[in-house]
Amino acid sequence: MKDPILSNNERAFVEKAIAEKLRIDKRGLNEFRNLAIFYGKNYGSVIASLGETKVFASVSCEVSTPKTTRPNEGTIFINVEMGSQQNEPCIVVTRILERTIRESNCIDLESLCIVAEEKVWNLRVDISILNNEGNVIDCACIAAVSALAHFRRPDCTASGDGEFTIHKSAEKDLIPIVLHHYPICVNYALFEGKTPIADPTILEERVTNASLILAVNAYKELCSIHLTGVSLTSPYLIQKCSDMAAERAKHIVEYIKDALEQDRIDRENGQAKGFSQSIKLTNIPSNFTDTQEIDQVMDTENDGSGELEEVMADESFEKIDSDTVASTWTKEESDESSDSDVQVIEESPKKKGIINVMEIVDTSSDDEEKETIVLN
Amino acid sequence: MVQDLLSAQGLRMDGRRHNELRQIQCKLGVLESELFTHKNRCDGSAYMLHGNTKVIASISGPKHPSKSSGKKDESFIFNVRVKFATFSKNGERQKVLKNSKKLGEIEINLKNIFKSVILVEKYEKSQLDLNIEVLQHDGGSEICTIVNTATLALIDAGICMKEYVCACTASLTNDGLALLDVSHLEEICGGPTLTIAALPRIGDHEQSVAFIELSQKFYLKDLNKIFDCCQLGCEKIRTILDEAIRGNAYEHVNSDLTSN
Amino acid sequence: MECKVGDVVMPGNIIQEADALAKESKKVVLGNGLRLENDSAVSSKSGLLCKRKNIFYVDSYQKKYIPAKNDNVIGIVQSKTLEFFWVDISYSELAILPYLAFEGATKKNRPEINVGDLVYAKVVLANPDLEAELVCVDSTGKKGKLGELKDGLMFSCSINLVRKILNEKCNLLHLLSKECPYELVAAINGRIWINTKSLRATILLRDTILEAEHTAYNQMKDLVDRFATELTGIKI
Repeated sequence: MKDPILSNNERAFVEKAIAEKLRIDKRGLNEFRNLAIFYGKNYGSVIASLGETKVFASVSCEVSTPKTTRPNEGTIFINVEMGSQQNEPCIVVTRILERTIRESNCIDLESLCIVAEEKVWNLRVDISILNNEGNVIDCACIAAVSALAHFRRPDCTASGDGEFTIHKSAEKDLIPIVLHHYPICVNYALFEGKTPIADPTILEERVTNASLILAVNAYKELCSIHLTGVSLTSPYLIQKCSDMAAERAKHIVEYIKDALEQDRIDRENGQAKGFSQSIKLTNIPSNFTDTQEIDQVMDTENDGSGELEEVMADESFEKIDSDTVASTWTKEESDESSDSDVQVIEESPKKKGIINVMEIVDTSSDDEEKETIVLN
Repeated sequence: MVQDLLSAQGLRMDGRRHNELRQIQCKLGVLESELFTHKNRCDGSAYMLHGNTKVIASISGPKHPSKSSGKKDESFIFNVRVKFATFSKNGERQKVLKNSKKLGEIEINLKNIFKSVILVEKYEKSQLDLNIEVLQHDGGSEICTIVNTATLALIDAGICMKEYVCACTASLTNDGLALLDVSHLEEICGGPTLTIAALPRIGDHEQSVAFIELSQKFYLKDLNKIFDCCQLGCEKIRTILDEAIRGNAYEHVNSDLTSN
Repeated sequence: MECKVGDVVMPGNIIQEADALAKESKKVVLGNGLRLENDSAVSSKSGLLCKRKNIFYVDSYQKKYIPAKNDNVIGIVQSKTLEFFWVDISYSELAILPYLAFEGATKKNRPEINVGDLVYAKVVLANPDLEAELVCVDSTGKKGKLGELKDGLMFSCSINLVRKILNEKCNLLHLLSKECPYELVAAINGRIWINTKSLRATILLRDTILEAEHTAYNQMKDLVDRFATELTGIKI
């Protein structure tokens, strides 16, 4: 099922709010969501989360033959999976990452050569978007870069006659990939082509449809620029954004390095936590934790006092209560059906909290007859 | 960078100066359709030779949207199809990548560039098809030639646009001098390449950019320089396109006069 | 395993209480999440076992909305045809909203609603084999509180949250109304629409309502107090 189109109300609200320098999640215009990086127990597997956006990246390697044009260099392959058939965003993300990671030469590909013109290591980065709450590209880039920095490949020794042996991790220590620099993508959503918004949420992305993605490393080197969506931008804005992006990239690189160091210490102490730490346990709705309360609710429902009171302070504003009409309806119906037999009905689950809304199947109608079952 | 891109005399590998474009030749209305009633006839076309890259673009539309194409909620349907000829690279027959990610990316980019330039509100509930045929390319940023050809084809088809879109590339030497219009040879020698598609307004108006692409890295402080170079290139290309369009228009007027 | 009302049941648990009641040859109604298997009531969902009069049902946390008759929902108009709107009500299929289902609408006088607008409507037809049908009038032809929702902010939430804030036990909306005047529509398909006089208050209100999902009923007062301090903090 494709996404429903964005309502005009949401679009208008976001645009109005941005004009007043407000955002729905109370962030500033140049404020980012919280970043977290979790390393898995295997080398080269990472979950990165930016707010609610979550991306899993895993790096693997295999021995293959090099390209004829570059006989002494290893290769890198990036694959992005979105989990849906959406083709376009997937291509865009893959190409941006390819340009950011492969074409900026951040990986020392020559060190991945085993025997020139015959055997090289082929790195493969698999990226799965676990949850898309906006700004997938930033999160995917951080995940990919930290996975590459975390990855260890088996050591390999080549003898002179083109033979080589791959050592198991027990024989020789695994060795890391050489990264020259860490390119970081920073995504700015552009409102009306001139107001850049850092780290857009999915709602903001859907409203503007245009964004400027800059990949910068900690040395203030620009690795790729990409202008997506339908938009016209001024050169001045690009300059402004790239300065902000450089600042951001510096922080991220430090964060990744800290996380790597922490992981190294944990591993030395044999306390690698794995992905279990990325699971939050706070998402239990509180009205299910207290059974006592539910009972009481049910009691009040039995009284049949169902009218929700009008509670508004201002006369011009009124609360529209959901089910006043529905409640009167159902009372009549339940009276009618009270002398019917025992029945199994499909009571819709959502009705439970709303007081005295209860739908009873009218047993006289033929269609529902099959649902009427007599106990005993 | 493997090799220096600029000789001591200030000339590039193919003998150009640092701010010189490659040869550009273009022609409008290269494809003629006899069947004026045909649904999928070509309503505008253009051909361009830029250095060693040859591209033909054709437009079909605006027309009633075909049932199979596009989503329901889009009021203006713009389809782009890019095809590389089998002999396009080095004149040798090669396996053509169909539906590859790179091709897909070019199509998405073209779609976005022209959607932001075409006056979409004039073409509500209609469909426009843009077909690009790359006859020959010397690698690298063929998107720049494709954009310029497509602009000409759109003008030939009489589609309302805000302005010309011109695309251009630029690179940087080791000494930090910006090079205009990168050739394939220069690209593989390892300089960074910036491609932009811009609306080069003449006069006081600020230039606006519809598309940017960058490969390889350079220092942030050089961005201004390379960007300015690109913009300069876009303006130069604009004058070339302008001449071609004017020439085409005169031709039409003259032929009308003689026929009367 | 003994399953009493108020217990958490798992799929496959036998509800002895319902069986016992049935043996006394009383009428027993099995509601959502319960079914009859070998003459005894068995649960088919996990959740709280609830009982109201002679009706047993399982109250489970569900995110997916399934249309049922008489539900009030917020829909987004997706497209128009000659006779009706196609409306998204966060169900897997679109619902139909006929042009004539508005107050005062005739064949010539059509409602002025565009694609992308929000409508607050009632489900009148919910059949598994047909598209759900909506109306924006009640049985007397008056629109009441149904109709187009203008301005404001609509956001999605869990169905559970809507049930919770509409519950009589929950005084959140009442407490909030003392701090700040607002309009609110909580629709059972997991969508809430709010409108206040300022954008800032709307954003804060949305936050507060979403936070209520993880707040116990007796802690609502603290939640509203926090809302009030943030709201007044802005004015200064």
